[in-house]
Amino acid sequence: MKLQMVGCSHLTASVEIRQQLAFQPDDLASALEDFRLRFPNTEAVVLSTCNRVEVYTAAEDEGVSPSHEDVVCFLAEFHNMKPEDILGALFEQSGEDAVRHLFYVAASLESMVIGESQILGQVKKAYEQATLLGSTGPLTHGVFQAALKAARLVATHTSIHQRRTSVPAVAIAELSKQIFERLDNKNILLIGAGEMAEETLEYIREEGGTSITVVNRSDSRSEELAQRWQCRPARWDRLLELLVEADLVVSTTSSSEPVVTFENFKQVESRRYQRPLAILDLAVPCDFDPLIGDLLGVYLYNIDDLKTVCQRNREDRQKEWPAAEKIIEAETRSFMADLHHRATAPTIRQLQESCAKLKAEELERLFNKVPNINDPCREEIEYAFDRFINKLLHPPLDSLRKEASDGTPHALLEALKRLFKLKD
Amino acid sequence: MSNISVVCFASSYAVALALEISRLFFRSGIRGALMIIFAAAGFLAQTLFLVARLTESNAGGWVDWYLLAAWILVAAYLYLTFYHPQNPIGIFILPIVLALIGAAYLLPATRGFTVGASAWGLVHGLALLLGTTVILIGFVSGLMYLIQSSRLKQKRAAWARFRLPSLEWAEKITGRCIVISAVLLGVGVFSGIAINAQSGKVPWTDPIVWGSGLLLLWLAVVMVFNMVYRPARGGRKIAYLTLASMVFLLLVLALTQLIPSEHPGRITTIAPNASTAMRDHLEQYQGGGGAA
Repeated sequence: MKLQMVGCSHLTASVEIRQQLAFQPDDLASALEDFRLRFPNTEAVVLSTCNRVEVYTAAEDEGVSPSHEDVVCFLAEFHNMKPEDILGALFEQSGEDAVRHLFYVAASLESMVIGESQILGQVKKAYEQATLLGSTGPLTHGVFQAALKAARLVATHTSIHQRRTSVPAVAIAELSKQIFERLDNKNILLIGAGEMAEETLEYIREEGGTSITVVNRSDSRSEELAQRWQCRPARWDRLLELLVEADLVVSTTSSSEPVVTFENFKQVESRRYQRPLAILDLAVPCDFDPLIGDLLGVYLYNIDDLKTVCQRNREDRQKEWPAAEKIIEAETRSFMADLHHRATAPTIRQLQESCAKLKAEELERLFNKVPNINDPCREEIEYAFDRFINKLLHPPLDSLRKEASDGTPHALLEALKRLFKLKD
Repeated sequence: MSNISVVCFASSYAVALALEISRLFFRSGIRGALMIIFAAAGFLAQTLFLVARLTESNAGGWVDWYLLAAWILVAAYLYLTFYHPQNPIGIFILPIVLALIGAAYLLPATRGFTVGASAWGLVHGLALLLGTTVILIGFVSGLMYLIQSSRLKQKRAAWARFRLPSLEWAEKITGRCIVISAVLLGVGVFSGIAINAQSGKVPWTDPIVWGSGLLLLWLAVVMVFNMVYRPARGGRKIAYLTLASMVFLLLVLALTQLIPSEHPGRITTIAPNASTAMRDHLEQYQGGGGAA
């Protein structure tokens, strides 16, 4: 049997190559169908995310399993590329290494941001889609289910997923939650209407924020964003007025000058009566004068402060790495032992069937020679034969089991086949 | 129940405190449950102990007052820990609980407050007791607010193993504690005056009376300040006010123990002309005070 992975990731290939090799959701069905036509007796799962494109293949018969070059050619042809253009960017893992790699990927230990939670869902989706399209089988079922289990174990027994590492996520889910108990009763002011504003809005909504006002220099963009996210748009000239009412401000403009100067804010401050205000300034350069952060009741975090928190969180995740690695190693060993046991199953079955046949023949001969034996005696003789066969087979089968825990025991299997004249 | 001693429940609370402190050093899946089990076991033991004590004829003195205050604080701790298991509230509350129990253990024995016999007396005692514990809870939330606020202002990293509650939560609890403690102390002080007025003489010069009055006056000033000056209703100002209230409370409690007073329950020595029965009663109580 052969398990293999051929693919590329952010560690091995440039973003351009990854984009070229990525499978769009609509293309996946035709890709798997094409793969099945080329390699009919091979199971396949395609994992395609923005950071990796990996093709997992598995076949009971190593002879029919596609080689590294076969998968490279398949990928190149599907994406109308030359194999030599992508050969250097693709790497291969097989057997235990492929299993370990998938477990690391699913547990987010191979992600660009270690511990990010999306990858587990992406692995699960890739496996489910392949199953739905009929390209999975016993081997891929086993390895993907074990990978999902290993990833869940890592999530449960380590805190590798707990710390957020993107700037908007840290700003909303970590910092604002240390200031406010809940966001559903807070006035949230979002300054700017670009990509960062939209990403931040997603996190604000996730954390329960409802009363959100979007203000932008261009009214049409703020109105468009507000409509998309069901918030209130406001005119730019109302900015200071809105700051008086705000509890949480997220600023994301691309202005080259501060949007709110210290002098501007002093006018606001007297009308706020020192009510706590969290300002998350995600803009580069800063939208809020840093001096504002010194005022009473104001908690001002700019992009550098937030990046520092992100970095600290990444480091905290790194500290969890050894514990996660330990879990993955244990799960890989356990899965491989099961897999090797499965490889010995046909030989064991043949051996047992051969012995059962011998037993039946010998019993028939015996009962023909001694026909007057009553039923209890017959049963007792049959039982004795069974015990004898079990005792005879126990040492070789036990040795086979022990040997299988370290890898497929090819030599032992061959010896058994030759000794007992077993035929495939 | 007679086998339950102060050491029993104080030890349980000490273990719960040690478990709370261990949050700072390592993670554990069962610590939360253990903390609640130890604190709840101590709470149960203390409840039985107090029930046994309060049924005695000489019950209701300062020792019981301190023990009851600790008991109410533990109830608050259990409630808060159950609903906010991530926050190390016990690190702040349990030392106060142990200090109150320690004070009760070390205090000289006194006879029970006679005012507790009447309904007004009960209102007086209970209101002052609850008012005091609410000040202590306000102090704890104010302290947590100041630590969290200072950390956020200085942009220091949140300690994963020492996750304080949000500023909003701490501010809400602090603000409520000031109002509730002022009302309770007001009820306590005025009901005390009413009791004395019935007997025709209010001991205005008594340190316990004017000390409690001063504390009430302080809380009333704080409340008026909050109403008149909007910035004082939230933020660090209200947290500082609860810290100051705590200082006032400690001063009043010190006054009650250090300065001679005519306040019932404040007899610390046995008068030479006391009756034999009274002498036996107080001696027995004093003997039991240390082992309470």
